[in-house]
Amino acid sequence: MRVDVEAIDWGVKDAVILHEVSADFPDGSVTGLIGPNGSGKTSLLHVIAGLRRPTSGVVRMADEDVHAWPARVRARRIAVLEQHASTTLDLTVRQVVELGRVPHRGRWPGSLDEGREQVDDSLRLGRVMDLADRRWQTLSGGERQRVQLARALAQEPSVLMLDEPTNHLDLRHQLDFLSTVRGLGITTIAALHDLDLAAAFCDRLVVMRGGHVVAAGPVEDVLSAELVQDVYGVRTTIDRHPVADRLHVVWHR
Amino acid sequence: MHQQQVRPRPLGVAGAAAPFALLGLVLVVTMAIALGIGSVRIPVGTVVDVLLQRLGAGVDVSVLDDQIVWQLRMPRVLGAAATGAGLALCGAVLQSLTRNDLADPYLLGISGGAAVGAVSVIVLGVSVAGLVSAAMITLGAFAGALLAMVLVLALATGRSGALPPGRTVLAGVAIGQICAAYTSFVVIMSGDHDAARRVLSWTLGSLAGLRWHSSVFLCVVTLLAGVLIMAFTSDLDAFAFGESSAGSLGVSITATRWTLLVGTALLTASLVAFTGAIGFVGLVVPHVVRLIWGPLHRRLLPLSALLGAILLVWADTIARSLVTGQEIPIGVVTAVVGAPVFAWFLRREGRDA
Repeated sequence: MRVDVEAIDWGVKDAVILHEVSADFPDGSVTGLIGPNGSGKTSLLHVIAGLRRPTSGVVRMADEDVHAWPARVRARRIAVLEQHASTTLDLTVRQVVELGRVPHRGRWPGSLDEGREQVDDSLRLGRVMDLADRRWQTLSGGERQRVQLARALAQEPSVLMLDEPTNHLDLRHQLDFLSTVRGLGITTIAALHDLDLAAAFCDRLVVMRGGHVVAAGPVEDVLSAELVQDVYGVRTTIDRHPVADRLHVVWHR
Repeated sequence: MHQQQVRPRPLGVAGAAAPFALLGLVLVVTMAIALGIGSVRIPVGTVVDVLLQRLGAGVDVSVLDDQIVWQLRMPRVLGAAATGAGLALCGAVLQSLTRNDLADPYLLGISGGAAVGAVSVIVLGVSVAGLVSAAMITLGAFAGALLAMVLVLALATGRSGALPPGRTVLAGVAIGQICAAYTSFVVIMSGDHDAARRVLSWTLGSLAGLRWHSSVFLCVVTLLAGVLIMAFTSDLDAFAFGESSAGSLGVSITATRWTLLVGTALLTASLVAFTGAIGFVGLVVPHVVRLIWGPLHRRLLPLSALLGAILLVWADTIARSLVTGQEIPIGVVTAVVGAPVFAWFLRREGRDA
């Protein structure tokens, strides 16, 4: 589903955190949201996901105002992966993934088989079927993130929002996770810290600084050494990757 | 580490219904046995005859048996079951809502507030014309509990109307301390030993005052609250990974918190008004259920209610029959019996972790 963000302002008390943010996310595209800490990436994700109401401006999905949807309708269309999901409860992987069915369930406890098929599909898509009966508390960081992805997929979303999904993962799991996401074909918006990963896995980039969007568009058009110097204050060389056909970011001091 | 191999999850409808059937059966048997126990011992068969006769099944029973089983013991056993179920439900809901393992039904300063009300009646003799003392204590306790709850909620509410769990717990502690100070002060200053004894026994809880009308009231209140709470099983599950995650799953966090906090507070206030503050049940029963049957609320809530009911019926039976001619405060029984059982459970679970 296509997402259009039009002139969003958002803040807490007197601090304005997002200024006049506009961006568009074509149907089926994977967009990287990049920018330094505190540039407003997470805030923008939460506003787009409908979790925070903007002071002004509109977020549209398929030409409908996201913030006009009831919470449960919203949760059936937008799924969010938080930075670091944790629980003290002793849940199995299947039970965690079943949480994704909450917005689809009725108020009263119904059949135990509700959404069983979707949960199975999600376990497969997230490549965690073999973990289904394991306990959440026994999983590694990489496994947990894939289980959370499966939970998000069980919501059957049209849009996937990821907040620094590869933060605590080793290189192998970072690549696995992002290529799984890429393979889904769902419109995805992901806040990312690693510019090289963003260059490798995203179609488009939205670059933020101080609550403003400073650049947006296809990766090849947006990503440049000047931009990175300007936004992060870090010198980089950006050229073609020697093996893969994509941009490649190398930093130096 | 290897719990998943040790304890496979039961699957299928039969497996899912088994714990409900088991605890339901244990509760019925418990109540039947409890009805026979007391200063006059009545065989279970006679108990069943009395119940059948009362249900209109034309069985012959003596007036004395009927009097003891139906008029004296039945209200108490029913009241104990309702109170235990209600306390365990409230504890389970509050632990999930605040994500705090130590949350119990008295979290919102309710027992402290109820004690203030009860003490005001017992020691200061606050009264309303036409009401007997026992009813006055109940009324005072209920009013005190509600007042404390309103204060705690007002203190905990943020400017935006949200009710953050951390603030709620702290506000409960603050109001609870003020109430405790008032209670101690009034009791000490009155210098009335009999009043001090009555206050102490009230704060440890007792079901001795339950009659048919109060028991029916407790059953109805617990049932209503239970139905309300069961409408929130999915929402409570969604809090597993925190409120932000619950929000992204479509749960209205503020509305859910307010409804459940006020709902459980009203239920607890009703229970505490009739029975005094009975500790331990609401804190521990949900943990035991979670350890055995897992943390999902559509099982946790009803199974906690059943186990709470079973536990309190037994506790009350012990409280009224262990020492002839004297009642042991039920709070003492729940702690003395409950704490070792819970400690054993913790050890057993801890072996694998």
